[in-house]
Amino acid sequence: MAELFQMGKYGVYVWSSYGLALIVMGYVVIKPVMDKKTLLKELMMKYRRESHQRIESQQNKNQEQESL
Amino acid sequence: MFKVFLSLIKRDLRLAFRHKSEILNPLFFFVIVVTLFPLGISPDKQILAEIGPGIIWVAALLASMLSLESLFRSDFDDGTLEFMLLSEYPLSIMVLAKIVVHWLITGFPIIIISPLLGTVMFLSNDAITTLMITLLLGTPILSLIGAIGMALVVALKRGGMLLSLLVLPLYIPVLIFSSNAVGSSMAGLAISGQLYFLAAFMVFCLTLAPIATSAALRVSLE
Amino acid sequence: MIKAIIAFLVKVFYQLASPKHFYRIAGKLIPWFGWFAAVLLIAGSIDGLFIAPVDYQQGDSYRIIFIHVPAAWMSMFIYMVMATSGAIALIWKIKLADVIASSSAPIGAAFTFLALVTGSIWGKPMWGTWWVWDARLTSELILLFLYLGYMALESAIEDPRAAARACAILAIVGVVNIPIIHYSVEWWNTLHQGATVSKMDKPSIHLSMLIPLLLMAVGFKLYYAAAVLSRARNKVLLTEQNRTWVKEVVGLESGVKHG
Repeated sequence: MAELFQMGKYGVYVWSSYGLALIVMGYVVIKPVMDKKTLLKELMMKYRRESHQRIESQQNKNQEQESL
Repeated sequence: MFKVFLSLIKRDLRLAFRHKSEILNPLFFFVIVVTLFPLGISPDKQILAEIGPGIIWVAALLASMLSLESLFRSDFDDGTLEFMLLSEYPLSIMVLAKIVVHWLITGFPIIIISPLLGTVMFLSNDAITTLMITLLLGTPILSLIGAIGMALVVALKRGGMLLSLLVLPLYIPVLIFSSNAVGSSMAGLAISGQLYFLAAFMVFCLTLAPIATSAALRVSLE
Repeated sequence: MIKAIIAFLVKVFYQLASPKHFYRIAGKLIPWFGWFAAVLLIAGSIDGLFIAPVDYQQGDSYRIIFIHVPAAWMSMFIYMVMATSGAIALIWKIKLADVIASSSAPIGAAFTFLALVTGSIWGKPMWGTWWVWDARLTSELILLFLYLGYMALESAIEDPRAAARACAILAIVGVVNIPIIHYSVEWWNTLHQGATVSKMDKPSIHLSMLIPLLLMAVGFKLYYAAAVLSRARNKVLLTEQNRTWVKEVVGLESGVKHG
């Protein structure tokens, strides 16, 4: 079994190539997943802020009308 | 249409001769860069003759690229480009006129001075002739391809470095065939293949580069 | 009858090109592409690493080719995708094509990098040095420069619409030049090949070696499809963030995550 992984005398080269491929390709697919998480969070916060502002401005308007 | 082409060339040439530095600076740059190599490597005759064609061509590449700024920059700043975009004449013809002028004020002086540099790099007489022919065929390609890159970055404030990233990889075929032709004629080998390639590549760029450049200008000026 | 079919296809095409539908359909497709890619890549790796017979000349080191060659294919393929979708975006003004092109660039650069480094690792035991100015390696290096230039231009232009159009032109110019660059590098390489440098060609490849190569190649393609779609989905969300459907999607998807 160990022999199978040794690849003659080329084990280091072969395994480092496959390992590097795994790292690079793993990064390429994990990056958008992480990006999406932060993007969703940011957009959620933005929408909340906007809706708060809308409610507040509505309330201000109501108060102004009452005071008149 | 040809009248517009000619009058544009005349106008740009007149402008260029008013700022003589636009013509002289690339030329000085070309000479200085070539001079650095014997100082940096060795004044040995054989070594210089071996690397000379490559060095002269790399210097020509850089000189042509660094002078691309003059192609559209001032016209962009004073709004002439926008005017050209709106004019009734095809933009690619006007772009071609500007490229021809760029070649006349940067490529052509380089060709004139190249025998001198060939001599200090110990190239043989045949090789110097070949050097001039390759420069004659190759520098127009540099101006044509460079114009596409310059049109893409003209609206950016600091486009100089970016321009070299875009343009230099595309210059590689010219460098390979030209410097090889000069080296081969040093060794007394046939060079017609390389020259045919350069001529074909020049015609190819001459037909397509103005179109790509005007498309890029339209994007940049939006 | 044919008219109806064409009308149907056009309808499907435009639906796909609308960001909202694209987002939904891509979301459904990604798991399929992703899982098929994973299965093929694992099978191809096992086959390539353990089952394919040892090469009588190169020993086991040739197994690197099962990564190197498909990665090099992908690096060319993705640049062509970028140029094609750039052209589609320029001609038909389809925003989605721009999104696909710009999402492809980092993936293509990653594959080019992978092809370069694995080529160099393969070359070390074969040539005795980490780098040889071999035609294929040199071409890959220049291709990497083209990718880097593309990404540099994209990040330098602030307006995303203008950036996309400028990049589309650059990609088309690049794709026209790639064959010329490739040809000149090949020519240059054969001239300067003084020492006996064995190129990474596959002279009469054996069937048992072809199977893992094909498995990996198809796996890489599917992997790219999944990766580019998930990047494109993010870009669509970002650019369409003020639309109602995005607000709904964001509410739904972040709601699910918080339980």
